[in-house]
Amino acid sequence: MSKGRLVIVGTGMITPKHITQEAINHIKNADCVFYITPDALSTGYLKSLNKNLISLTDCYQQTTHRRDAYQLMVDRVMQEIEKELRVVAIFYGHPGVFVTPSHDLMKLSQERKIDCQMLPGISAEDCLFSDLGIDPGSVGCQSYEATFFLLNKLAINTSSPLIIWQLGVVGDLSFSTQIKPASDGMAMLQNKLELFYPSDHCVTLYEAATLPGFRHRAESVPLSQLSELSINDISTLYIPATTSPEPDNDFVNQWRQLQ
Amino acid sequence: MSNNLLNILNELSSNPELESQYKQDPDSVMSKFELTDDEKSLLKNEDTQGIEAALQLSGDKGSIQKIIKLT
Ligand SMILES: C[S@@+](CC[C@H](N)C(=O)[O-])C[C@H]1O[C@@H](n2cnc3c(N)ncnc32)[C@H](O)[C@@H]1O
Repeated sequence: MSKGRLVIVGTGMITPKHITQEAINHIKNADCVFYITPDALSTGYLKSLNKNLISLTDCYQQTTHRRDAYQLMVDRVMQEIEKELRVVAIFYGHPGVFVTPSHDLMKLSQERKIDCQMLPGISAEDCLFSDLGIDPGSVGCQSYEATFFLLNKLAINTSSPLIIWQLGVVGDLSFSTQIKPASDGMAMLQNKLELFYPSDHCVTLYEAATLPGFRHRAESVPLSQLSELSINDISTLYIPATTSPEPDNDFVNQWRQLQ
Repeated sequence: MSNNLLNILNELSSNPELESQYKQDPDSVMSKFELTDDEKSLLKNEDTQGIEAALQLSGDKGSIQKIIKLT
């Protein structure tokens, strides 16, 4: 087994208030720390933990296709691990939630028998649960990436809430590193949602605060007005349930008979 | 742009007591950090982009990273 080591950690939505103690300890003890975080306070804070801090943001500038940018990130991190260094890779939020390069890094490290682990972090969805007062345990919860939702026939369950991620690139099929939604992306999303939900169903555009002391954004409108909302690259959509689950009486009766 | 804006934000991020005080009465907390009027209005208006730009101008904080897409 190589002596190099990889730990993948998250910073949550606001640094340092969301970062975990174990992430801090790994960052402090690393030989080399790669990071990609959008919040304004992260760079200064992470540098105070470890001076060998290297940004991965320029990977987007070096390529035109996002897939290539992620490959570049993976190559850069792997290069340092192969030098037998203790490497930490930081992604914002939870490092494994809607993040391709972190999972690619884990897979490659496992294949190469490199000691690796991914630590949990606070995701946008965790903030949504707190800010909107949602318990995913009460009637379940579904999460989809916006463009994936458009392109696939999914068995949407209207008796549990639906969370749609990445409105900021909805309908963008170019996979370009120039990040923007398709011009009619939000309209397409509204149309597709109207196949499952009534037009007057109230949906909420959600943005967790990314600076301390700030409020989150929770803008609720009828579904028929969704495409008129102004969206940002951090916008997430929350759609409450419209129906109640049908009790499975057959199963319950069978089960009773067995007891 | 001074470092006071960065100082207040770092304090708010690491001191929950101060953060709840700030949410109740932002003016009194801001008055402890010698902020300029522009900095105060950036905070009051919750102008995240303006703050990012201001922090970048203040040097070190370096590349505030606008990249949010990772899938
Ligand atoms: C590439 S994913 C990264 C998610 C991140 N790893 C996490 O754990 O939340 C980006 C998407 O996360 C969601 N997101 C990121 N920041 C957010 C915020 N401040 N508020 C709400 N949703 C956010 C948006 O749906 C955005 O398009």
